[in-house]
This record gives sequence, structure tokens and C-alpha cells, in this order.
Amino acid sequence: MHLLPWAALLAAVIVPLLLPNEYYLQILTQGYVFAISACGLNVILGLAGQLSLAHSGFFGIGAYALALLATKAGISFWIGLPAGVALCAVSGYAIGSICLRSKGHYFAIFTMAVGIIIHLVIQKWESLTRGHIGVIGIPGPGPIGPISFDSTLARSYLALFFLVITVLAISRLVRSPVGRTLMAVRESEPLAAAVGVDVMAAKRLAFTISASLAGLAGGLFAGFIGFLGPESANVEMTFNTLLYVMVGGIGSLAGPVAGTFIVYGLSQVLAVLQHYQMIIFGLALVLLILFMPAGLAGAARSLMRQRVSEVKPS
Amino acid sequence: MLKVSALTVSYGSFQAVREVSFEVRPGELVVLLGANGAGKTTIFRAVSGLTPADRGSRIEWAGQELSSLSPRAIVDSGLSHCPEGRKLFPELSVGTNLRLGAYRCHDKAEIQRRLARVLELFPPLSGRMNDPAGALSGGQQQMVSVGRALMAEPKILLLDEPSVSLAPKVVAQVLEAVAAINRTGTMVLLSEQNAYAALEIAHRGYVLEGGRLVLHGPAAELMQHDEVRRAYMGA
Repeated sequence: MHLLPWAALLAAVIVPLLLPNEYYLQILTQGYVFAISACGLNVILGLAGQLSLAHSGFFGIGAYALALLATKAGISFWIGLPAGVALCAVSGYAIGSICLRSKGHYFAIFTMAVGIIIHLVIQKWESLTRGHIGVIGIPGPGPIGPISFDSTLARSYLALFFLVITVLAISRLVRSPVGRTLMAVRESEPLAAAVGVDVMAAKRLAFTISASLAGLAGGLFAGFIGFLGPESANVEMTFNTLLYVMVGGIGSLAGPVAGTFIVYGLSQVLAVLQHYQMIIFGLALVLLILFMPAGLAGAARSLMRQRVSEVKPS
Repeated sequence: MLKVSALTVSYGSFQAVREVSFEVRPGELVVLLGANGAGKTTIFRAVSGLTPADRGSRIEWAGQELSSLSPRAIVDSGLSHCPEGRKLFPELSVGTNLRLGAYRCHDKAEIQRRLARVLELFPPLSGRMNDPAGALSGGQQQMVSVGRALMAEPKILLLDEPSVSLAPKVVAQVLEAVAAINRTGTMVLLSEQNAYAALEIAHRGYVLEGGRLVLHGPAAELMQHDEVRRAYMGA
């Protein structure tokens, strides 16, 4: 079982070298970036049990922070990226402090409104963001010592690096007392409060981490693509990310990453069908919800449990 | 000492608890008796800060007025609440459930010591530490629930109907453990429908009806009381 992550990592290192052309490589890189965002959504949704629909708003904040700092102030990618993440952490903390006063469906609706507002601000504040035209000419990551990130291949490895760090950090978080606290809040807020958990602080922390990871993904997205429009922050993006997490398995470590690659990869393959792809997607989703309500990770887990009990009947 | 006076709790315009006063003295095991809806759970929730009490209610514990404190501060003051219906974190392991009980303690060795104590009190849990709490039998889940409350090493333990929907044999086990906890000096406030079993281990009891206190006295006296016998023991 412990071999699986290593095998996945090995595959991730080798696959880029085998891809036939740049186009596939770019899709792979974007897949890594969206997977980071999906992992972020999983922190607030899977760990703390709160459905936040403001996610791509933070993705947009991180992306625009990097893009505007670079194009307006000439600040490099390597400074703009952490600056965007920090901005997301601060705004996530502030917004979380307000949104998290609501619960359940109300929280989801509240955060969706926040996401729409962020999108609208980006879209309408034309003097700053150039609105629909978007920001062009965003510089990519500059070289670190002898390593240059000009090639698509190098950028794909850079994105992979950030994804691996993200997954490792979250796996540490899950095993830490903080992770236990978040899961306690997810399972039962009143009970968590009864044992002395500051429920609000715990949820706010998860929301801040989640927003920061969305910002990290947004910054990478802007730097790699080189141009940026307001649609990167729209609510549709949030629902795509939610789809990645749900398909992969809410609350599992590898689920959001696997879900991203399956759904995003499938959407790229089906792109030739244009609007018809939604028919296939819709059907696949309905089947998934019916037969694998806990996502791929959940299905894999119950399969494993079955095999164990076959070997060792109890 | 826990001293509750004139406690009134309303849900909207409905008064679930009306002007209830009672106390738990050092070393005591006190039982609140009452049928469903008599207000037992509401009293517990008000004392541990989960439900706000109405104006004029006083809940004094260890020289502090609890009604203005957060649940977190109340836990810190040495009061631990084990809620009704053996509420657990069902998907988390038994070990994690227990450790969460010591949430406000950051000393690992101390947590380990408390864990050993709980396992001594509830031996069946030893072998199930890594299983999800939701997979345990009803009795074992109740042990986890009581154990989790004990992990806070409280000065007073609030146990809300620990025997609800358990087999009679398991009820005896759980109540025996409660008596054992009390013998180590921990004050216990217990609520029960199972009046006879509860009065057997309690020092004193209070009887609630429709949110009001109707009767109180030493456990032995209550057990002989016609009203109690008729209402709770079918005699």
C-alpha cells in the first residue's frame, strides 16, 4: 500500500518525458495546477466539512496578484507568487471570519456570493485589471541558479514539485493534532465544542489554508499561461474544482489529485465533441454518484477492505 | 461545588426548564431523574455552555459564574460533559475520539497516563483503539463517550443518560464504572430514566417533571418514595 504514492510519483516524473508534443505537456502542467487547487478545496470541504464555493475567487486573487505585480510593478514571479498566496491567506482569514458564522447550505450560498463578487470586481475594475481584455504578457518563472524554467517541460516539473509539496503538507496536517481537530469539527460541531475545541478558529484556519492553496494554484496558472482573464475566477471554475474533488473522493489525500486528472483529462479528450461533451459528462457523473458516492478513493477503500476480509474472515 | 439556582432555559417562547435549582457538593454523585422531555438534557447543555440560559439564571461552579463563559472556558474550569445518545465522532478511531477528550491538554505523557486510566476502567476498548468509533457496539460506544469525557480529567463529570438503549447487563457495567469514577473523588451529575439503577449508586437525587423540579432528597429516601416508585419503577 505504501508503494502506491511512490509509484504515482515515479509515473509523474517519467510521463512528461514520453509525451509526444508540447500540447499534452501543457495539459499535464495545468492538471497539476488544478490538482493543487482541488487539494485546497479538499482542506475546507473534506477535512473541516464546509462546502466553500468562493474557491475560484481566491484562485483569481492569487492569479491577478501575481499578474498585476509583474506587469505593473515589474515584480518577478518568485516574489509575486508568495505575495499572491499571502494576499489569499489574509483575505481568506477575513472573509472566513464573516462567512463561517453561517452553517451548512447557508455557508455554501454565502461563499458562492463571495466568489461571484470577487469575480465581478476583477471583471469590472477595468483600470486595474483591464476587465474582459485581461492581462497579457505575464512573465513566467525566472531561472533559479542554473535551472531555467523557460521550457514547458521544466514548468511541468515545477508544477509537479508544488503539487507534491502540497500533498505532503496536507498529509502532515491530517496526522497532526490540528488535523484531528478539523475532523472533529467535521463530524460534529457541538461535540467538538463540548470537548473544548474553538470551532470557529478551527474552521477559519481550514478556510485560510484552503484559500492560500487556491492562490498558489492561481499564481502558477497565471505565470505559466502568460495571460489572464476574469473567467479564471468565475463560479464555474469552482464547480469544476468541486467536481474534481467529488470524483476523486472528498476527504481523501490522493482523491482530489486523481479526480483532477480523470475529469480534466477526460474534458480535454472530449473537447473535440464540443458541446456534446456535456451529455457524456452528465451521464458519467450521475453514474458515479449512484455507484461510487465516496468517489474513486472511497471505492478503492471498500474494495481493499473486501479483499482483506476475504483473506481473513472475522 | 456546582450550584445552580433559578435556571430557566427557553427555546423561543417555549420554556424547557423553569426555575430549577440544585447543587452537587464535593465528592457527590447526584442524579437527575425525569421522563423524556422533562428538561434533563437542556439543563446539561445550559451548564456546559452549549445552550444559553435565560436572564436571572445562576450557574456557579468553583467560584465562577458559568453562564457568561464559552464552552471552551468551561472545559478549562474542570467541567466535562458527556452528551446524550453516546455522541461520538463516528468516522474517527476510538483512540482519536479519546484523545480529543484531552483536547485542552498538550502534555503527551499526561495524555498517555489518562488514556491508560480510561482503558483500565473500560478494558474492552483496549483492543479496538484503531477501529472507527461508529463500528463499535452500543455499550462500547458508551464507554468511549464516557472515556472521552474523563480524558479531560474533570473535577465534575456531567453524564447525560449513559444507559439509554443499552442492554441491562451493559447498563450495570456502565453505571458501575460511573460509581468507580465517583469513588476517586470526581463529582458526578448523572441524568437517568432508569431510576432504580441510578439511585443505587447516587448519593442524592432530584426529580424533574415538565421542566420543573418536583422532588429531591437522599437517594435512599427517593427510592422509597411512593411517587418515584409509581412513576419510574412500576411498583
